[in-house]
Amino acid sequence: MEKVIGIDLGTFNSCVAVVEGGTPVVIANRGGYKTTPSMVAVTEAGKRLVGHIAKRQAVTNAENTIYAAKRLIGRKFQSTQVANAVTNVAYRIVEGPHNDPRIQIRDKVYSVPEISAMILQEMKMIAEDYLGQEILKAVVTVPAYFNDGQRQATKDAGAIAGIDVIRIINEPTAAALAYGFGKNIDRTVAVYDLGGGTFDISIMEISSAGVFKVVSTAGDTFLGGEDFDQRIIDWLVEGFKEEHDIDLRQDRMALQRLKDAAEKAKCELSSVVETEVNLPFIISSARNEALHLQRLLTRQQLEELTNDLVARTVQICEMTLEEAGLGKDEIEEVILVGGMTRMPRVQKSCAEFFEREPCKGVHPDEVVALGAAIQGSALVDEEQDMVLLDVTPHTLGIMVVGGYFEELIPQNSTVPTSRSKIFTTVRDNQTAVKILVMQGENKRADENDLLGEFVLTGLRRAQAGAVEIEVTFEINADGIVSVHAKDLETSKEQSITVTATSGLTKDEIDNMVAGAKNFAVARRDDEELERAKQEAETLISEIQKLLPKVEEVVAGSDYGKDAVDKARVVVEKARQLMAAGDAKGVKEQIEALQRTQRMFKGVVGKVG
Amino acid sequence: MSEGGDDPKDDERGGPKSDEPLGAAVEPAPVERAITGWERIEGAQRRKPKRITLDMVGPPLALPDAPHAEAEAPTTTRLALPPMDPLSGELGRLERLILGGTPEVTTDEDPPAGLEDDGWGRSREMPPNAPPRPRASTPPPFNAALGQGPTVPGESDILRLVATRSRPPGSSVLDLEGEMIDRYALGDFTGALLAAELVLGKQSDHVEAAKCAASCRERLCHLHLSRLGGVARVLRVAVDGSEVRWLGLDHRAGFIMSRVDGASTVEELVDLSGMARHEALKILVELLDAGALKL
Repeated sequence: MEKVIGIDLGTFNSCVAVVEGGTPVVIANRGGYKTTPSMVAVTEAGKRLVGHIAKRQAVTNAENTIYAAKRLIGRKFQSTQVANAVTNVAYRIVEGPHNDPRIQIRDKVYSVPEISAMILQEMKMIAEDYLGQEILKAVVTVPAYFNDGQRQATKDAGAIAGIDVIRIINEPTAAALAYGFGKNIDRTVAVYDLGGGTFDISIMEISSAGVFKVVSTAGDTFLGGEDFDQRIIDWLVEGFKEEHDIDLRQDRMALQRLKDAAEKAKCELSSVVETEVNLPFIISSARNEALHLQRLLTRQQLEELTNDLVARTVQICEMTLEEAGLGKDEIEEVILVGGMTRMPRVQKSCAEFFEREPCKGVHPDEVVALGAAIQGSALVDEEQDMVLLDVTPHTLGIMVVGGYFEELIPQNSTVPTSRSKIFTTVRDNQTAVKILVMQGENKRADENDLLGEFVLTGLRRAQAGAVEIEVTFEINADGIVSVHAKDLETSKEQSITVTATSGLTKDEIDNMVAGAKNFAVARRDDEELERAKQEAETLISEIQKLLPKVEEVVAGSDYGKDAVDKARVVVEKARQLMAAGDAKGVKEQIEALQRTQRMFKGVVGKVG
Repeated sequence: MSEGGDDPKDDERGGPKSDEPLGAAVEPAPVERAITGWERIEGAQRRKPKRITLDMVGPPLALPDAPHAEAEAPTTTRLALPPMDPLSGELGRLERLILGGTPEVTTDEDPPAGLEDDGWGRSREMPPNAPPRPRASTPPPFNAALGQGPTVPGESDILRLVATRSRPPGSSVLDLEGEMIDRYALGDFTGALLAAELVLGKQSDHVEAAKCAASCRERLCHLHLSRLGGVARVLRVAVDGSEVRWLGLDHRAGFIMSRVDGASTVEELVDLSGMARHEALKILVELLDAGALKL
């Protein structure tokens, strides 16, 4: 059976999982970490860094390190979120040719899906290294509030990375799946997701029919683990300033170390009550004297420093429940998602607010990816009885007189679906109507997203309200929306097919796919060369260790001298091939090196 | 100190007059040969060197037993050599001068009895009829097969270069370009790089200096990498966490050391450092030498 991976493409961290032998498992990256920072950087030498390595240089190379690209994906350049990002991030965001935000790294401009594709490609490679086979299909998760454009952009990112995204599912849905919901259970659950950079709370109704309905979702896209780290950094910086009158924020290297140490301390304080932050040689004083930072941080201090941040999440939960029209007692389960929910204070606040202990047992960092993997496996395994129905993430409708939004297909409708409504003209002798197809939950049309528009002409001249027009919305199994408008009297009709767009043209995507493919091939080649080089280096080192002994043994013999000379030639050739970066040549030369090594071992072994 | 050569002491030292173009006045023919060698290798157009005149004389940049060393030893004032500075001599002081610092100046009086000038501006105890001090060794030539940068001349060439260097020892003129070329020829790539960077700081489009700087960086990287055993080697911290602060590092070395996690390769550490490649590699070598890191 074909393997389908589940990818939690997070704002700050990503995770990949797969179902093996019926059990979903998270795949660790090469460093042994089960999550990979969603960061991409380009070094001064033009080398691309993805994941932990990019994170570890994020402060010292801030202008060329991209993080939180998810906040920008599928959005318009003029949107509030993009404007917020422009003022908050160190990297450069520029306007793209299709009114989309693009990111400039050094001298190259990248689209946002391209950046996300680099992260997806990394996750794909992690899975391929683990499974030992090429992976072509994946289920990718997105926040419940993502609109069609954002979902399409995520799919495009997958395509650029060489992945066929067979399904996009909501993050709370994936989390609920991983916790074992969705199998003959009817329940209302709250998914509290406090990640690296965002907070989301979703109230879901899970039905035994396999429908995961997001009743209400809210959050703060600028509240997460980073803010907790920042509080620790501020505390450390202020303490150091008091002691030495030096502001560590002015030094990038010091700030990078502080950031790493703050995150480490925060994680440690989830399991211990105090930890020491020890950063020797953090900065040099004006007298060129190296200074050290050493402070003890307790769990209580951390809780005091971050109390307002936790309180803010509770406040958002309260608003969301109100919006959903539900009382706390109607929430039957609370699911914790995101690394920050390991913090005891967060768990306690959550339990106090919902008046019940949250579900435990699944790692909050991994739960979303596990759910995506379960869904992926179910989609390709016909024997599995789990049915997860696709629902529309947002309400679809049209704009009507007065600038209002008239709903046709409500949010969370299962697809495929079709709905019709009859509208009338609003002016006397009106011969044409403009149909504006929109998506969103707001009553004011201009606050929702415009998906497309078309005009129905040739209407009969009549008084206002006399001509009736039937508007039909249809969503097929692939999620493609078609809108028809028909004059009921003349049967004249017009229609439009709305295809979600990420802001990239097909040609652009094709070019990016080719670029990403070349990068992947080059990277694999580099890795192959590196492995071959290491093997060759080891053999050369062993040969050189044996060489004096062999020379001693064969001294005086012409045959022996020839053998030693030949061995030297073999070693020299291997070195030349390594210097030239010839992976194939080095691999071939390894055989010669192995023969030489065997021969030398034999000679030395014979004489004891 | 002044720039442009209007120091009245110039005449006494046989240096250029204030209205003379400095470079032309003091440049002996053999220097041209040395520079021509550079041009031949780099294929670049040599610019007329800019010169800086200081109101003091630096130590001659020649091997201690080079022909000029004793004959033309400075007789007026001399700068004190910083003992630890790899860029000791005129260049290090020049850097300080350009950066606005005040050079440490000592009066050049006759050395005390029993002490002689060792040719580097330092007074050393020299036994009577002492044999000449051994010559400085030159690093082996860079692998020309890689086709990067000019080749370093052989030892005999270097000695000739030193003997007929761009300016006579004791000259009042500090010639950055000459310094750059000489240092490069002697295999002092760190010094040559600093000289090249100083030239570039004054004239950013200086082609030879840019090429020299690039070549020096390349060579320094090569040297450091050979010490580290290649870019793929993994470095580990060799000292206990509690002992790190006794190592006496600076904050840059402290930063690089903090990036060493026992899994990152030399190449990755260079990427993480945010520093120029040769600088990061140099620090790694220093940490290795200090026993702070192990391979």
